[in-house]
Amino acid sequence: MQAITTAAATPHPADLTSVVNQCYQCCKCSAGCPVATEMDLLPHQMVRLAVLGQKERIVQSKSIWLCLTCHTCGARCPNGIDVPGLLDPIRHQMLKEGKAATIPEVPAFHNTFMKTIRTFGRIHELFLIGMYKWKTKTFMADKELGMKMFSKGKIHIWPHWAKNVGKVKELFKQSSLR
Amino acid sequence: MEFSYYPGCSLTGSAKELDDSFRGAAAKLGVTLTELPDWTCCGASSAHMVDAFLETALPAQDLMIADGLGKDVVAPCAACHVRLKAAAQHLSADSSLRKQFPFRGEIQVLSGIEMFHHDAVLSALKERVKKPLEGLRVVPYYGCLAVRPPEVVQPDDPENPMQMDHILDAIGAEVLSWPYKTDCCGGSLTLTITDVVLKLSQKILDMARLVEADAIVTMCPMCQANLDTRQADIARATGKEYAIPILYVTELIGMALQASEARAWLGKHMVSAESVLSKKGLI
Repeated sequence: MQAITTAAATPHPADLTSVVNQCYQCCKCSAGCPVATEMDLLPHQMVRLAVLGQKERIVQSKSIWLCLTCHTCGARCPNGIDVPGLLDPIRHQMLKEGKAATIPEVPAFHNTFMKTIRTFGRIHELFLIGMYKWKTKTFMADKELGMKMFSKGKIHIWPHWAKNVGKVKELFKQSSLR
Repeated sequence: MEFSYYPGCSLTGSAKELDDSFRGAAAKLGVTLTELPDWTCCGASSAHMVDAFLETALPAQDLMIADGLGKDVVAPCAACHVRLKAAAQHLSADSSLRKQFPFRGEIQVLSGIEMFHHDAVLSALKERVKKPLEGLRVVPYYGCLAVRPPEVVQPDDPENPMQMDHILDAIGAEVLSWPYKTDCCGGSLTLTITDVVLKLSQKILDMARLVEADAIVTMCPMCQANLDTRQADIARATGKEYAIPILYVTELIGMALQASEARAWLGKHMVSAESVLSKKGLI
């Protein structure tokens, strides 16, 4: 099994492997994690698996998608290990390889979010939510809320195309989402 | 004082009242905001989840526009602020990336709270308060991204930030001590794993109730939207009643400065603040 390293193209300056190797399992990350009670692998366990090169266990977990990226773990870690920063490259690779996610709604949402940016250059909330619901077949969820938000003028029917949308599309072509 | 202004996507839609109240409060304090021309989305909480290049490239686009204007740029949205600031740090550390995105790095990226906490702005605020919010018991809720990751955000204190407390104090509100200033409300998963998010949000609402707060005050549009819109669902799930207004600190600044539009800003929320504020004689 392969040890986890950041891809050469990532802008993260830190060498992730040498950082995660500093973990001495104090469990402060798991103590502070707001979704620890929902997780099948706790944050300190994911760090340990990363040290052991057992990335597959993380890939197959629910935890990788339950992580809120709230960074409470990283802010409190005595060794500067930020679990979302460790999980991001694993998530990137999973998406690139088209690996199934244990909670498919989460990557479906983020992919739809990115598609919205690519289309308009900015987020158009109605397009984002509509596309996401289409993808996940969750049409009825939050219907009432959506109507209320619409009546408060918080959801616009017509999108606004950013003038620089062409530049944004160019950036997407240089990314893994091309 | 003059700053460049990056509203970001949510301030054009679901958080329009943050945009309106931010601009309104700034104008009352003599702060000039120039919106970045042709800004695009910073990638928010999604780009970093899916692609390392776009994580920096999308906000880099906006940083270069801000660079051209030559003034420090304010991003009221906590997610935009983190993304812009992280990208600025990546660019200054990576010269090859800087070749593609020639950002000089001479401007600062400020959060909305930082801007109102700026010496000159805060003293103008203290001088110009017309109607102190006396008797209004508030809990300052910073949320995650206003303080974390700390190496990116560089907050005054990642566990016990004080800048919004100082602002609320300056406008005469009663700032309560509570333990959930920086706890996560679950906002990033509110549409995807809603049942888990309801538990996290309920915890925050219950604590605000325990300390008898009249309102939760924030600057983060994801926190505001999540805590405001999910109260009806939490009430349904628990059989308890929830009606805690979730207000933007800029709305309260505007109220204390007697901005005529303040009532319209407040009218955009799901949980109405009308009865709480009128009981205290504030509207």
